Amino acid sequence: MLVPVLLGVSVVMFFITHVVPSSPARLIGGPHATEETIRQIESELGLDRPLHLQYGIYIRKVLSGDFGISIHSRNPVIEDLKNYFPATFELTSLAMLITLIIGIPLGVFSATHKDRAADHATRLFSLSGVAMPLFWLGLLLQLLLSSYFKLLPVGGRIDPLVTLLHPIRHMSGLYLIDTLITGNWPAFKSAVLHIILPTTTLVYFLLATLTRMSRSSMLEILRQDYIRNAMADGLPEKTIFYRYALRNALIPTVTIAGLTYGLLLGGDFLVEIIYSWPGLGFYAVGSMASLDFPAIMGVTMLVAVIFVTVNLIVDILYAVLDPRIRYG
Amino acid sequence: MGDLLLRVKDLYTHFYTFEGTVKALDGISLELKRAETLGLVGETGCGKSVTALSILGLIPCPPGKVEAAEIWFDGVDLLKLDKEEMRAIRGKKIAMIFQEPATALNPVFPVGEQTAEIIRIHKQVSKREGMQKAVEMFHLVGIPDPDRVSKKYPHELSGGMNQRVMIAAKLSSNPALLVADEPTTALDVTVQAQILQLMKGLVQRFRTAVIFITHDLGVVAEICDRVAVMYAGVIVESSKTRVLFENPRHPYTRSLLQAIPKLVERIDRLPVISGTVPSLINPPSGCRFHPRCSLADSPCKVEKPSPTSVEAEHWVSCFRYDQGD
Ligand SMILES: Nc1ncnc2c1ncn2[C@@H]1O[C@H](COP(=O)(O)OP(=O)(O)O)[C@@H](O)[C@H]1O
Ligand SMILES: [Mg+2]
Repeated sequence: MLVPVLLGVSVVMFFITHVVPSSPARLIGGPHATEETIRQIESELGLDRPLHLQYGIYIRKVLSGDFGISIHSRNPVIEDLKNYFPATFELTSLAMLITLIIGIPLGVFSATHKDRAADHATRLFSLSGVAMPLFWLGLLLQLLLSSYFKLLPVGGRIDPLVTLLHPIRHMSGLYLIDTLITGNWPAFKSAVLHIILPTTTLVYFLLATLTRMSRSSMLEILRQDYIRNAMADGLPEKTIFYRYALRNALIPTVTIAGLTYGLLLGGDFLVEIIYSWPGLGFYAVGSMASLDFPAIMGVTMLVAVIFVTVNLIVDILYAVLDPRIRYG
Repeated sequence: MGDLLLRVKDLYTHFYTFEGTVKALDGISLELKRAETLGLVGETGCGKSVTALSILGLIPCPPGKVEAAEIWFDGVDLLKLDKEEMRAIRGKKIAMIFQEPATALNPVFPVGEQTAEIIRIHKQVSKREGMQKAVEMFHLVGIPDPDRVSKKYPHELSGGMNQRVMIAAKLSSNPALLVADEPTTALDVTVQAQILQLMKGLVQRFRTAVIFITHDLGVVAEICDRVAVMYAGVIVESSKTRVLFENPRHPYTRSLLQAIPKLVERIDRLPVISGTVPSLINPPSGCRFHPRCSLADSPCKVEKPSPTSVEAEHWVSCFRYDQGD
């Protein structure tokens, strides 16, 4: 599954990036570079060879873990990815975790109190989350909490000054975890303060979808015969709602949550740009702006790997939750 | 009458829907003694399931609304109980079996676990004891290799096997009343007979009273002590099973019985009851059967007939019932 997807993605991306009528060599060389310099750069980068040969070389390098050198940052792309991806992973995972913890019970509560005040409030809230553009909410929060009340930092992942005084020992690349394990409290505090706004923005957006999703699948399940049967058996509501019904309602919810998570891991561009969060999306946008083809290729390949992996995990979870799939 | 278990009096269940008020039950009254089996028969849509669900307090409201003079069960008026008290009775003293065993069991839990859960709630035993008892019950209802089957999911078992699981689960708390809503309708004919025999044997053994809902008069003849015939939300006739088959009084019952050639002699064609079941949103005035009744005359169209005793334990709701013997 993974191999054909990656091959397909790499071929398509490779040829797209190489047929666009712009020359990375010219970009590197700058506006005043002579034709000779340009040609020299091109041959250094292998850009003068036929396209299929270039692709062959690229794939061979990729297989040995070499994604080339970023034209923009002048670092090996693989190093850049290693630096930027944990930021995205940290932000997305935290947001997803919070969303699941709040969203699923909220959806269940809403469904079991259908058409009562609590349900209407929940639905209004999720509707507002769907209707409100992500960037607008982000800017609003930024304006209010950072610029006006000065409660939280405007952007970034951590205060550089803090890291200067209290350097972070990089282990997982996740600042919250690395600082927590090493007991680096000033850095931990700074990391927490920085992650609040982007997480909140993302959670609000995700919560809207997930709450609606778990509410509607819960309502669907509550109509099923086996729920009425469980009621006829005199089981407590708690068991019926949170064990019998939720376990079934989770099946579609997990799928949606998983796919969304996979998408966001590929870079939650908007949030990362708004809050200058140095993640994959931030890096990708920078690379595109500077026609940094090796970087763009690297990001694309990573995103493909992530997406396929997340899909696989969702499939496994699906089978765990639904015994009908296991043997089918 | 000291052995009375259930008395439903003037039960009206209505559903308030967008299309209008569905007057599903229009004054149902019935009585049931301990260890007695009452058949509730009638065409699809006449309100059999609604009657059962009303007794168990399982009518969703909204859109439903249940009103009755009383639903007296074993010393208490069920209508006066709160949610928690009613829950304590459901599954423990009154159990209900549904028509579709395949959809009435939870698809994501093994059948043994589901059965054990019910036992655990009502007997306040540990998980392990619940499981043991569940396997015992499985054995009792004739499930081969109950240990192995208890770990299976509903989709891995046949319809008949699932219905056996259901019966095991429902009888595990030894309820005084079992409401069986067409428990064999969804099964193959041969399996139907097996399940019927199984139920008959078990309820006799445990002295469980049963309300057996069906639209199959053959089944009624086989296992019911008494029978109540329903038409469009009303019980039109009730009596001992034998009496009803030998001497039906209500025109509706008579036409129903004529539909079973085996039980009625000197019949040369199957009579079809002309007309269809009326809408329960705008039910016919007076006797709800009058538009389809060949005997109907003016009072039938305006006045609702009330149950009349024609002999001991034989009631008919009809102005023109058959009086001749
Ligand atoms: N939840 C509901 N909402 C509206 N109408 C209902 C509902 N449940 C049952 N009814 C109506 O009540 C009537 C009796 O249904 P039911 O008791 O299921 O018939 P049956 O005798 O086949 O079991 C039908 O007309 C049905 O449409
Ligand atoms: Mg029914």
